Amino acid sequence: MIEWLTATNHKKIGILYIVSTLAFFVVASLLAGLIRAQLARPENTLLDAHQYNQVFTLHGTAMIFLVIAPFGIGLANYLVPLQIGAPDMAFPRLNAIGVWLFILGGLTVFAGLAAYGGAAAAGWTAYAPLSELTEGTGAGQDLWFVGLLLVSVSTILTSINLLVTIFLFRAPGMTMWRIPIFTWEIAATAVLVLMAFPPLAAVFAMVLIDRHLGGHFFDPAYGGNPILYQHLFWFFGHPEVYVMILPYFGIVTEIVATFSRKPVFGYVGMVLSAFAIAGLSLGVWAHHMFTTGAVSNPFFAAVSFLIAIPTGVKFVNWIGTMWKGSIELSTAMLFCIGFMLNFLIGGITGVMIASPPIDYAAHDTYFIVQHFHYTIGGGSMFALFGALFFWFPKIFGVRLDERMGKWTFALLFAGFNATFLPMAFMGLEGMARRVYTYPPIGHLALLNGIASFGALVMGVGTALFFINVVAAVRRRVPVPPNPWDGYSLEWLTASPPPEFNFHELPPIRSRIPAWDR
Amino acid sequence: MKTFVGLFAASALFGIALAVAYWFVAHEEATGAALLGCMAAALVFTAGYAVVAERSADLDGDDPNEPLERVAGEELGIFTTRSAWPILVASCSLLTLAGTLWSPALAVAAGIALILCCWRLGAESARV
Amino acid sequence: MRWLFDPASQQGVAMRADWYVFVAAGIAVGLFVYAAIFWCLIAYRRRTGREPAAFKNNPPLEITYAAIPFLLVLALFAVTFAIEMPIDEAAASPQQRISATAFRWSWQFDYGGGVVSSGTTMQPPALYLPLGRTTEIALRSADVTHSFWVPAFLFKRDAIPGMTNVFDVTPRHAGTYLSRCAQFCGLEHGLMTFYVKVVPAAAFDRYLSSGGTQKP
Repeated sequence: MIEWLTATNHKKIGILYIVSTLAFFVVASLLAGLIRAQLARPENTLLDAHQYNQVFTLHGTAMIFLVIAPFGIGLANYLVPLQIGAPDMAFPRLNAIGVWLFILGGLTVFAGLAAYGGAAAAGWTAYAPLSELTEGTGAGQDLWFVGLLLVSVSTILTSINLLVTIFLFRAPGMTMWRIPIFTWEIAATAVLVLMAFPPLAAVFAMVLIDRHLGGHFFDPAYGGNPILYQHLFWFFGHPEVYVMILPYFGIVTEIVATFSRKPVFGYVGMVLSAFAIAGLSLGVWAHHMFTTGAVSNPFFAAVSFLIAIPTGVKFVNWIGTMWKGSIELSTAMLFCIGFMLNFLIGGITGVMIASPPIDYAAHDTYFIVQHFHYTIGGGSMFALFGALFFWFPKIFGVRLDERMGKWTFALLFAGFNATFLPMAFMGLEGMARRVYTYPPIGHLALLNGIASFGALVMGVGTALFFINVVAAVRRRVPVPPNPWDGYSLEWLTASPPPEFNFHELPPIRSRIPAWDR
Repeated sequence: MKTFVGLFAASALFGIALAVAYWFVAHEEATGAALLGCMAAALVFTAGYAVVAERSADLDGDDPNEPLERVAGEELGIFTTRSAWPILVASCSLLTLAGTLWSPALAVAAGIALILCCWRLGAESARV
Repeated sequence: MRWLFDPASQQGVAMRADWYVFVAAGIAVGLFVYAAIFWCLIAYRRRTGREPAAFKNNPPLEITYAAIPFLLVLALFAVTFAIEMPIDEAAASPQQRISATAFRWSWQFDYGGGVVSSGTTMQPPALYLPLGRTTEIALRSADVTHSFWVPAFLFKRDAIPGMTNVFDVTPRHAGTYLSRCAQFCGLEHGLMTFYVKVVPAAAFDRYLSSGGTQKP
């Protein structure tokens, strides 16, 4: 116990991130189950309005701030030093501060459940002035802001650490143009975090000042401006979307290349597209504000469309990597294929809603819920499971069962599409986001029924995954250093690696050091 | 020019281009213009620092044919494996923030503890 | 769903074209990429005795497939721009002006001349609109940010405290359309509905001249 509380080694901290994000994932998934149970039938009374508002707020908050984004950062914590041949991160103590700020911040958000008036209930976007009202959302809303303020500071600290490590701690021969794509994507993510997270910390501090110290930043009665909140929030919020996807692009790239037995196709294009996505994502924030009538819609539509180009480059490069390869459909590879199939739908609907005339109909409806779940759920979450199957032997020294893994994939893929594809049509039928009840008009009852059934299937798949983990840990069958015939440096050390990663560094003369042998 | 300098220089140019483009399209919208202006300034500062830092940087990792005579870890110094201070710093940060909202006494006490923990952490990291 | 094919406003008809273009382009791109992925999975699956190729890049090809989406994106932007501009442009002299105010958790509609109607979550108010007349709606909020959404018009606009949002709508089908607040606004957001009732212009005028007593 003390060993884990005081650990500063990047692998221990990486494991702390992975285990805590998976714990938050279980909670957030159960909350999703509650949402789908409530919406399974029209005019359901399982949850009342206040309970439902807390549930969807905590579900979104946890999945975004406490699962998808920090899992990428946490996996990077574990893998980046291994992939570049470093003994640890540049600042081990800063790293430990980061993980504890994250865990304490996450627990603080959930501590709101015990507060008088319940947990935060203003949605994950917590728009002011709604989030500044005290009735109904008392200390729970404060704890939400406090917890996420800590999480945002944690993310900034860890990003600095990762950038310094990548730039300065590479092993002899590991030039920048030889580091694995996953590490490159993390570098792009870290730069993005440094640009995007300070405004988030600022806007949360401003809301806390308004709530407790008599400020009026967002109150028009005193000359404040609600639009200012939206600007500051989305200036963070849209880059955050890419903080939640770039690491997973990296994961997919590594897994696809490994199981195609081919080097990554278009390595330079992959790197440039990562930075193009990161850069462009800083200029699109107000496409979340098309319907406010207060921003330049053509500017933000144009820049948003442009992001499709580097993203398209990535897709073609993945296909180029598989082209004339020797593809093995392992569980990790299946999850990456699932990632591509789902993320493509999310990407295409994303281009659609970047067009303001379409967004005027789709904004704040279930069409949007469908869109972002296809990117973050069908995309990032599938890559997250792919990463777990791929690196589990390296991190924990035991292998997950492939047969059970493939069943997990099948259940999650079928369940996911059954849950979220109907949502596009719910949006067009007139169902708004964040409603705790809906009337039985049109096809809403049928569509919601299908979605809730899909969620049940996903729940079974998720449970099967955790059964798999427990079984693997109990079996304790040791694995060799390179069970998948991977090409990057982490596969050239023991599974799990020794304390400082490499007893002796292998020669690095290309991008595929393990295949050079 | 080292890769990371080029990276930051390109980012800075991009930041300036984006801010200028925004200014031309929507300068009446002050918040976005200010945000992009700050972002461009931050990137220019980082790029400038990278240019300065490049002069003193001489990294094994940047030479494609660096002979492999060094073993992992040895040249980078000794890394700590454990420290009690980080978790205390994190806890004190939470308490300070919570105290600022609900209890000035707690804020002061936790703030002092936070400073002490940071100081001890710094002293420890100077040794190992 | 049927509103996508047959919107109830002239502006909705213009926006429907944007949907058609983007859905068609999306399906074309999607099928192409899906075909390429499944081709790889079938043709290049692992078989004994077949070695994977070793190529790593192909710069001319890579530049080509960065350029093609760029052209596609330019075309999509041109379509977007052409459709959006007239919709965002409010007419200088609308035939009718109505003021709508959102509050937690219902709406108040002010037609001028003392004709005002308001509602509750249990009794949603009706917004009467004259068929075929270009009507300007001025949108305000009394408390937090709301959003005025008429699914049948394929349109919504936010009601933000401290500012007035103005837009035009020209109804083209008479009828009653369930509409609602789209922006999360707290406890009873789920019940913050209203009805848009598009009525013949004569009936609408009677409603106003009678001081709101002769409901169409």
